[in-house]
Amino acid sequence: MNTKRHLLMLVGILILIGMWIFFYKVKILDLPLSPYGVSQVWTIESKIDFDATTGRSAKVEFFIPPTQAHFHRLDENFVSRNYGVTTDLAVDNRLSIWTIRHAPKTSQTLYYRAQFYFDEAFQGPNLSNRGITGRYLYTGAERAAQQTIISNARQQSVDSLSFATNVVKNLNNPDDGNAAILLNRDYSNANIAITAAKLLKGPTVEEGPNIISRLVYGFTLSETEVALQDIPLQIYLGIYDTEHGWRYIDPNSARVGLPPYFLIWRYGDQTPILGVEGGRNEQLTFSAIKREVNTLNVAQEEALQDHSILMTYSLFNLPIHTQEVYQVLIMVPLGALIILLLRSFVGIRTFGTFMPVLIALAFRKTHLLDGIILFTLIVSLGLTVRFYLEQLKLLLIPRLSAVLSTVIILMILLSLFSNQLDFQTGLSVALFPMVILTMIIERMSIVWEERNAWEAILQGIGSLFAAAIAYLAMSNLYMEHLFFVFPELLLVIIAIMLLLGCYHGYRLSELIRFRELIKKHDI
Amino acid sequence: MTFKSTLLSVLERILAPLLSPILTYLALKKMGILGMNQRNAEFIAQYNPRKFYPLVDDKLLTKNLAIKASIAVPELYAVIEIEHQVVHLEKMIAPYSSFVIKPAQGSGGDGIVVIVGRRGPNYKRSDGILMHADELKHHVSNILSGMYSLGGHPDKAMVEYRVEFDPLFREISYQGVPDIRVIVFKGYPVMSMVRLPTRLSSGKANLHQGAVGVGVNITNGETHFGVWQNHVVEHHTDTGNPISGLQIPDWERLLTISASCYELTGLGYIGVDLVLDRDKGPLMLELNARPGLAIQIANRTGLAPRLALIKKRCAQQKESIQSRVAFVQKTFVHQPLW
Repeated sequence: MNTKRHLLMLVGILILIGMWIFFYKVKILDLPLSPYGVSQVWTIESKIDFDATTGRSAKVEFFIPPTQAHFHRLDENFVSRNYGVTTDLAVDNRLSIWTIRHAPKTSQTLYYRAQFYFDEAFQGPNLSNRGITGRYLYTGAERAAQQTIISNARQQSVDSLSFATNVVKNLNNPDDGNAAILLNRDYSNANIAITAAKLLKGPTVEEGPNIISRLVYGFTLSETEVALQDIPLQIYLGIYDTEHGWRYIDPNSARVGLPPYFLIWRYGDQTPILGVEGGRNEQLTFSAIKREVNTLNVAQEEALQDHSILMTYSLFNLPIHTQEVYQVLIMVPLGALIILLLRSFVGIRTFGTFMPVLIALAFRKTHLLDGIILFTLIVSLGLTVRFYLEQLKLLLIPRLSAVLSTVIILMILLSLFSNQLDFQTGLSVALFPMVILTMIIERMSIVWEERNAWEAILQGIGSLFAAAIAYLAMSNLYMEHLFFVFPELLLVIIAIMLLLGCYHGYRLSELIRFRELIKKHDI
Repeated sequence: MTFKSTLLSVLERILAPLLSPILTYLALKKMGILGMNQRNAEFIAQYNPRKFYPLVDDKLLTKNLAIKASIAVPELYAVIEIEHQVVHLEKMIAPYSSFVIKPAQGSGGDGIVVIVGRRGPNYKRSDGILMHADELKHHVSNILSGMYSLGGHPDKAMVEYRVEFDPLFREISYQGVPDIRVIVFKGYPVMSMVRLPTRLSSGKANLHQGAVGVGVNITNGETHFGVWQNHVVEHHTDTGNPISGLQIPDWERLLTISASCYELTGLGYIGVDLVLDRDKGPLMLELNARPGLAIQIANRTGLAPRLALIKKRCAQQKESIQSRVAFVQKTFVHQPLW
């Protein structure tokens, strides 16, 4: 009884550890459960050109995309010869500063490149409630226009969001004289957004609506287009309230919400995104390329970025060649589990305990049907040779060696024939473990002689059947993916094996074997 | 027909194929039939320490132990251990006109040759086929090379007394020597059967090879019905003679020999194979550390309740061989399931 409890505890611990690592990898590291998942990865490039004075120092301040909802940053790099680069965090934004003491020539080009992948579920960091600072006091006709627009908007609105949309709508109305005055007839999105922000704040604390607002710069990454060139920066108006956090308004249509796939580059006011000291004619262009990447690779790269210890010790960090070996080996326990089930629950008889697993491994290369045909062909030819050698009254080991050599000759002949016939799978016959084949032939012929032919064939079919089932499980793409990405599942497999070891009940074959006892009993 | 009964009959049709294995399972459990998994886990793994296996796997060792414990066994004439000795085989067997050659570590009666007489340079096998001396030597060589041993290990060949089997079973045997299998648990004989060779088993007394197993009432040694290829039979499959109602002589002595085999090896769960010699009575042939389960079909009785009873009794007291046999004869009154 004590051993039973011990065993159950061991099983519990194994399952706990295995499943904990598994769930950690799925939930926290986002490793995909399916091998087919594809993620969209955008490579964003911003190119900064400017003219510097040769031999003089230059300093470039450039906002770069902050961590934000829906986008995971996989990788980023700064391409800038001879420049020193630092990045700073500045109230929800990230700022990069390029500096050089002696610019080597006049025309300078700097690149910032980053890779993002889209993840609907990613929430992003908590944003601060810092809006645009400073108030703008209009005078004269502008003051009157401001008051009119604000009182209009107030009448038409119930909360800060509807107030803000109404302000934007009023500003957009080309027939509205007040708007024309405030905008100075500049109906660009940027001007509307910043004017609206000024209006939302109000001239004084006592008077104004005091709505916290700021501008958001960024661009929409197209879901359909693969490559985007010279992407213009778009501006949205963000307003804040404690209940809803930040909400965004399109300064053109007054529609609420950012468009899908909108990558935020910077939060702030109307000051430029790029500032160059010691240079002029600065130009900034954005481009983006989209590619589809296996979700697994994306998750790995991301986990590596986070320096997750689990990923540092993952199978993916082994050399490719070793990975390939483990990709096969890691499936063996699953095959063993299948054989365990077939043997102690179903009661199928096979040659040797785990020999079917080895045959199943060979099936991976030959494929199932061809594998079964090749296996049957070699074993039956080998058996014929074995029976012939039997007549010569040889001792065991010489006979075994002779059969082994014959098996290899048979394999060579099969390969040669299939090459002639252009039957590709015939070539893969070499992958069958020949020593195993020899042992099967020997075992089978002994069973054949000592029991009977039927028993030998039955066990042969049993072995093939078990191998086929094990192969189907082991070569399942989902299974391969699961075990290779989550090797900790092997602990769970061990736990299952230990649990199955506790089963002392009848095998399915025994229900048939002892059936006679019951039939007679009932009558 | 009412709606309810229609529904029930439909349900029954659907459920029957699903339920029948479950019902079979439960019925077997109720009858106390011992399954392979239970036998392996609860009896062989628990009561048969691996270190004692060689004692039964090597029949030469078993025989020597039995002789030391003065348990009746067929007399050992000669042992051939190395290939070199095969040349002298004829000289070694010269004094005996009939004998048996068997591998010391053979399994399931494989590799056993029974010689009943001589015709010049030839030896006559029990099935009437003549074997030349060279063939016999080759056979011995094969035994030495491990052809019949488990795992193909090099083996020894034993030459021993050929049992003149008791005429009791003559009418219900096809060649070969019928033997008696007794399952002994912790020194208590719990169930027994007679194994009759058939044409299918080519004279071997092994159920896997097609021999008939006949249940024996363990209290008095009387045979009843049999099992052949997992089927219940009433007559011998080759001779057609009825197999029930035979009284095995010397039954108590046979049980005593079986029971004492426990002390011989220290293995808790064994199958003891005995033969009835016309003159010498019951002789112990070999022991088996993994006795099969078909004996339950032959006896139409499950092993599990008897084993459980012995387990309980052993926990309470230690008994002498005599009182163990007496207990068995008193307790395991034959109550076949039908």
